[in-house]
Amino acid sequence: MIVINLDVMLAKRKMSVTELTQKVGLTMANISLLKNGKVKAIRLATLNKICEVLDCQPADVLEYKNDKE
Amino acid sequence: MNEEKNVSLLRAKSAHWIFKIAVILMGVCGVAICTLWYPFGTVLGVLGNPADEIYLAEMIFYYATALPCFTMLVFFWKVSDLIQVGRLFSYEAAKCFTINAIILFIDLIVFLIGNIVFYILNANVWLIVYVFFVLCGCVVDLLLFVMAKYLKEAAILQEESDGTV
Repeated sequence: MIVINLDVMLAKRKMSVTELTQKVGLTMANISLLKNGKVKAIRLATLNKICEVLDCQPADVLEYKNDKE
Repeated sequence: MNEEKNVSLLRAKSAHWIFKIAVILMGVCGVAICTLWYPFGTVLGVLGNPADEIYLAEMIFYYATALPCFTMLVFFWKVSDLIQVGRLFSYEAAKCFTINAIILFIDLIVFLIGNIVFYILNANVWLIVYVFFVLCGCVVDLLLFVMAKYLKEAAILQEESDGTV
């Protein structure tokens, strides 16, 4: 499964979740869903905006974990 | 994005009022048929005294077959409530349409058989008219089944869309 590691990047950039929601343009609810891995899909535009705001690569926020492990 | 959502909600509000008005009008038509057509139409159709037992049996039959139609209106009212909150594309709405389609299907069969029986008993001259109503009802029933199927598929797509950020 794909895991979204927003917390790590937020800590590195010393940014709060509230600030991220305002800059990315998502609601707090959607950001929470992202952080908890409860989203079914993420638009490239959203991923693009997150990487732009956090100044990172997609690989910095997306990680693949094998469910069997 | 918020503006789009607001426009969508406004459209949903006007759509739900239109749906509710349609349901009320259908109800009014149903009441008119039950209070005006059924008593007098049946009298014209029954040979002999209107106080005949068969007249009473016919009246009970017609009112009994009208009840499921009013039940369908309750489910359509639920659909209009779902439209109001922007949840037309949901499993609940699909279920309402499915239930209505099943109710209508059973009602049409019972209505047709009953009218044929009364015709055989020489107590129904309106068989052709009622058969025409049954045929129209079959078309509506098929449309309800199709709507239910596509609303269910729309609900799946809506679920996927809601889970997308």
